Amino acid sequence: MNKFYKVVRFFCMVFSVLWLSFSANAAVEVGKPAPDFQLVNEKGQAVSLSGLKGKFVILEWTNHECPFVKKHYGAKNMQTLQNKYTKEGVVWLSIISSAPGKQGFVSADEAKALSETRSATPSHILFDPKGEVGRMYDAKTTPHMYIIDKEGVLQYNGGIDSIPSANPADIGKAENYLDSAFAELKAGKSVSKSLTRPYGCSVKYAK
Amino acid sequence: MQSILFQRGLRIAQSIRYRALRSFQSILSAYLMLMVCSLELQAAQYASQPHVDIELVHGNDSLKAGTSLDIGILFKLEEGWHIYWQNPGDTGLAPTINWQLPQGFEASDIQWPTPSIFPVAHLVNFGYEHEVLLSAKLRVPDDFSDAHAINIVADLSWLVCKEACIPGQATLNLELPSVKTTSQGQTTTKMALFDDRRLPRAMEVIGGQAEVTEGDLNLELYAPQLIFKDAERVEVFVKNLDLVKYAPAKKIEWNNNRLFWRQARSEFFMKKPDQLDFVVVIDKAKAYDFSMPIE
Repeated sequence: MNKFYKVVRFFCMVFSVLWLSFSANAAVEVGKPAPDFQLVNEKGQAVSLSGLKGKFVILEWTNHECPFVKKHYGAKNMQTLQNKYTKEGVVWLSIISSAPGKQGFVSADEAKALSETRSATPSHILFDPKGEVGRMYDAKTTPHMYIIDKEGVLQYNGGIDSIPSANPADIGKAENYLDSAFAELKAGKSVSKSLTRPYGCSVKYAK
Repeated sequence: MQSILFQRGLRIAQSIRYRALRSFQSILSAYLMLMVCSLELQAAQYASQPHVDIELVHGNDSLKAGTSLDIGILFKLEEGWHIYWQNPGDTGLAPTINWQLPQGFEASDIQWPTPSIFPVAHLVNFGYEHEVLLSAKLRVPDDFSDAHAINIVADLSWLVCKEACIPGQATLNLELPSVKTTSQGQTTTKMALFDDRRLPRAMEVIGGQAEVTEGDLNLELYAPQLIFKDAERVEVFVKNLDLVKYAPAKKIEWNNNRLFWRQARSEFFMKKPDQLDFVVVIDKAKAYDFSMPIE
């Protein structure tokens, strides 16, 4: 085989290997293992997803200034969910992927103060200012919710509930997708509404 | 003596000034109340909210039994702020209009003008900036008597965004004049807005197919006219929610009357729809509305 074809074949191999590895890092998929990550929490401690195996984990993308986040926190809906699930042993991670200078970006002290004033009880608040974990999970909105089971498999990806609006009066009328999913997971069933369109403000990623 | 007179004079002057001031105050408050009352009547047709002014407007000048009349909500947006198209894209919320109409009247769905693209980091939204008229056709019942004017009410909600987003809500009302009653002073400028609307032109499809595979939507379209000939820029806006991603398409090519467009399936794809509804925009100037069944 002449040299030219050998070179071409080499580059094809390199390209396809790169292509495959790139696809492997493509967006999360319900039913597949949730990608591992490690972020620092409000106490300065490193928290990794793989370290939480054996527990259910809820990911909540948040931005305290977004009107859709305010809808759920203002009506105490998010706090009720956090209390309920953390009491059951679920690990609740509130993740902030706002870039520095953008809406929702807060320091650890500001985040702690917000939890105080809002009576929020996530297990950890995680800071993702570069947006790497957000992009890994393709988090689009605040709020955007994910449920990971005890084996580390993604079981839910989507909105917090069924009525996309900024109106707190809609909370009581909507189907809460976390509650629906957990009811099924606890009964050993698969989640019927495992993928829904999330609604909210766009995550304020770094460009 | 002089000082006493002076002081009395001063006191009289003060009391006159005091009384004048009091009557001036009552006149002023009466005037203000009148202004507020009339403002309230006017404000029902028009509202000013953070970053957006909205107004309920109508097209033709009179109501006639068995005909249609243009009605709409005019949004005037602060520079840098936008509202959303019927498919807002990755994030955002489309505006909604709930019409409250008299018996027998019906409003069509919103006729959405051609949208623009608003990228936010790697996310993509579709919507409108500066000014947009969301219009509908109001069907007047066949047995409408023409004898009286008609009041319509619009309950609106929207999301207006720049970097941050502000949800908005308003209720507007408008009296539509019939043949017998005089126009409510709707200026010709407002009616001309309906002529200026950038509505995509409905066009049939003479060939091609829309196909959903495991990863993509493949769209091949043959139009009845050479709309793609010499086009420099073609954009496709899919109306169906949760069907495709909104980042730049995987592949696009066009010539003469043919367009091929491949886009990745949405992360939130759940069920294949029966029909693909989409808008094609050529050189940011001409827009066409198409529908095709999905294989």
